[in-house]
Amino acid sequence: MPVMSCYLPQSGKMGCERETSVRCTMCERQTLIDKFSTFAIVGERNGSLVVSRWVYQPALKRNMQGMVELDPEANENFWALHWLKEAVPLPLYPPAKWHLSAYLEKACYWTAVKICQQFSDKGFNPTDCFQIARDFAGNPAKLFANYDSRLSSVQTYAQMRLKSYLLDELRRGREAEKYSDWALLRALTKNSLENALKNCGFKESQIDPYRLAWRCFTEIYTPAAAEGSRKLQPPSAAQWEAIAGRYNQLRGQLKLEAEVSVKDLQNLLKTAVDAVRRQSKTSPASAGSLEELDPSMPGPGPLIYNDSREEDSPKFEWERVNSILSESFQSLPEEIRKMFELWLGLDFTQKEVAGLFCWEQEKFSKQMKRHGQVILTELLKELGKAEGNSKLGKKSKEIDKKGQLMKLWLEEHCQAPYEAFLASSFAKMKISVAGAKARLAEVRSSLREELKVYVESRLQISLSQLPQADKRLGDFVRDWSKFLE
Amino acid sequence: MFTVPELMVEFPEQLWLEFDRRERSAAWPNDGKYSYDAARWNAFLNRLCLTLVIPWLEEESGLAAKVWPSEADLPGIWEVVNGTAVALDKKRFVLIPSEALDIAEFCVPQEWVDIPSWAGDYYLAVQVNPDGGWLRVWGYATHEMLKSKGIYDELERCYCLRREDAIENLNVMWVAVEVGADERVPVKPLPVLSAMSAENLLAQLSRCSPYSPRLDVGFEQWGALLDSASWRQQLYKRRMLAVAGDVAKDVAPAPASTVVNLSQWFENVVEAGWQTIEELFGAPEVNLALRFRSPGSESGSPEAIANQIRHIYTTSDEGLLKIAAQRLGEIGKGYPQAVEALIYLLGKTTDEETRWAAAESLWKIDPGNPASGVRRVKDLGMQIAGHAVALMVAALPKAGGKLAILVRVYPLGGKTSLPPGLRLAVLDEQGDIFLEAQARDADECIQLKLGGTRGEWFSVKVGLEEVSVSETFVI
Repeated sequence: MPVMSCYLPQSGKMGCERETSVRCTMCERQTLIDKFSTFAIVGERNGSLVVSRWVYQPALKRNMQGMVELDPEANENFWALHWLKEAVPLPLYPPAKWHLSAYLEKACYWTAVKICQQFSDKGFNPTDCFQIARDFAGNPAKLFANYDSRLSSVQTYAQMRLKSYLLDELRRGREAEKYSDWALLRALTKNSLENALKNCGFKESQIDPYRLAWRCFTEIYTPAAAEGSRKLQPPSAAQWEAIAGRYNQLRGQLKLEAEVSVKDLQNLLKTAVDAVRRQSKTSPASAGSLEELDPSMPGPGPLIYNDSREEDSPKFEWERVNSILSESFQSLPEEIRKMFELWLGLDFTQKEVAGLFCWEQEKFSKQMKRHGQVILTELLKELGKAEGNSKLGKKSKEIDKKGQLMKLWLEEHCQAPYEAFLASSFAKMKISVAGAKARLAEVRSSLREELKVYVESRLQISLSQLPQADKRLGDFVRDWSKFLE
Repeated sequence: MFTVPELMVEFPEQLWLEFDRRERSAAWPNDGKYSYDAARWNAFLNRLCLTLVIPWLEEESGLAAKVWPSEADLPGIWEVVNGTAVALDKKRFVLIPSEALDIAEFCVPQEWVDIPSWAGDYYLAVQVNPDGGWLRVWGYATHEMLKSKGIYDELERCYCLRREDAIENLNVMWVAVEVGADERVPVKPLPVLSAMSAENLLAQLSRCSPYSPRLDVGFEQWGALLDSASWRQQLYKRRMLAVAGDVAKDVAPAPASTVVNLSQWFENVVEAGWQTIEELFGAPEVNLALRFRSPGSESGSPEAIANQIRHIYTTSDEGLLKIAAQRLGEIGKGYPQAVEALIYLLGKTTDEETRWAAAESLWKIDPGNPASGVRRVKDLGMQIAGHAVALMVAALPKAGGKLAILVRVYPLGGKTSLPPGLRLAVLDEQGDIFLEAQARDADECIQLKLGGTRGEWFSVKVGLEEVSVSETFVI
């Protein structure tokens, strides 16, 4: 894992009009005020993404300063949750979204770095990756639609969602390059078409003709064979006539008064394709359109403390969940429990775990899914009993939430023995935190070796056949020892 | 690009399936199975999906999957709608393939949600990449989620769920099935179609088209037609016959606008789309022009009725005759003498106003009486700049083998008046306007009266500003 590189700008060369630049002596932002009011200027060095500096948005900074003075004790996650609540589902306080965006810059950075590293053979442009992640992070209503503050921190959740979104977006972008214009039109959703047009400056009210033209095109014009849909050729003259005819037949529904000719229709579609292609090539990373922020923004509302745990007695529920899940987990076959510990606890990949137990990966993946389903079913049944519900009339949405809870529990439960082991090993070293900081690499390496021995004896396996084991355990030790950085 | 195994690791809760060239070609439909290109493509995507997803459904559930309603019914469905239903025991799973590259939304055609016999429990969002050789089930929705969170798209008639409102973890679905979750919500029953309206719909929807006719009539009618297995099969057969006929004649597939033959209406031969008043408005309410004014037909005293009847038989003042005819329409229901008097008046009068007043009253107090001529109404949809209106055409036989004709436009969609400025025009054989009317503020209807002899042509145009629709008639 690379360290976030920093670059100290040469004095006098920082052309920054409205924003005040922070000298980036430390890469991670240190203060709460910085974390919630600065944006990254990113670049690339030796192919890696680097934050060259963090820039303030003055209005955000003033605002955050005031907020922190209101409650100097409040921590990072408190503020993240606070701004999240002010930003979604209703944007109660417009600057909240920007505070949150500033905060999520870190998640965007790490998501981009991790993906570029994990898929280094694909040649993704790290700056583009960062920008795509940032675009998505700028839409908190989407990003946090299913967020539950009891299950994970804002940062962790954002990073998980950003990764999945970014992967899909990269896949889509690469795929789109292989498509002919006509094929690309067929491969859009209404949503992606509208977004592409809006990003090109079209107003909501101007989009209807494009939408209708696209709709009539895809309704009538399809590939004529099972193969070659990516390279779809243009429609024939008769097909164009039919598409234009359909447009004119339906335009009344959208109150579009102008009748279109085939030529007009082709122009509408051309513009739509151009908009979509343009969107695929992301604009260079910038600090966002901060200019939109009104410097004289309104003061934020009062701080509210008691609503971060909306659901009733979450602690009680968590205890109940904990006891039900512990019991179900304990009743799993021993081999399966070991696999869960390696996979969810120590973050080995499915392939690696399957290999250690001489299983086919497919079998492993199916077994893990199957056991996950069994545990979840058990959890629902037991919770139902406890709540006095004889009927298990749960709906998918609630089951999904319980499933997330279960996954988090499994991860924590599978990590716990190893974290406990590291804590005691570290204690046995009899070394001060300051001392450990000074010899961090050495300390970590030694902890990793001890952990390896522990894992092998606890799970009665040999890790010598798995070359990636050192990396996985090293990552685990590094995450655990973050407090030493 | 990412390989499928890489993606499987990154999205372990979704289902990724690969297929080879042979499997892909096998999914392409045989010649002669569908009446137009887009249906063939739709069938291809659905078949590919079905073939690949069924083994997974069976493996996960341990149950045998059964295509709904049956394998043999699939072409009839794929000819007009996207999606395939599969039953596992008592739960129905609807596969909705999409070839879109992004998964920002999940759109399910309304048929699968709002036709009671079609509705499913679980809807699987399937992204298909035919050339890439893979498909994935990226998430699912329940019937309830589509109804409560789905955004209804009127233009497409589908329910669209945003990605974040769908459930991406497919394991959750199997757990929901396991614990017996109830995921359906009640849907409104669809009207029962009379054989005649079904016949009319079939005639209209069976015409060759390069697109699905699913949006050509209102959803209730369309849904009611598909709800019935036999009409659905009829629709498919007739569409196939229509295209076969077209191919044989080597005619362009674009449907020529039909000419409505009014004389044949008297023999009950009626063009598709022309419904009876009861079919369109749902009640045997006859005098629509007056429906907003009079709260209902009050019956008058026998004296008052007798009085009006006497006028009809005695006076020759057309003004008085017209009033008497209208009055009988309001109070004469249930009096055979009133019906006789109106029929007498229809045969006697030479005044067009009196004639139509008598006919309208007859429609009201004795609907279906042959003396009141023929009358049909066509839903023009929302084609007039988004305003829903209906065109009524009525014809009465006159002396000398001529026909008296009344054309009238009504508002639909719960409106009580027409959009101001709406124009109704009658055009002659040369396409020149010879009669015209325009709606003012709060007009409940506008109408024109004309006469003609057998074999004559005319057309009626209804329009607002730049938009208009026309219908051509032959007497």
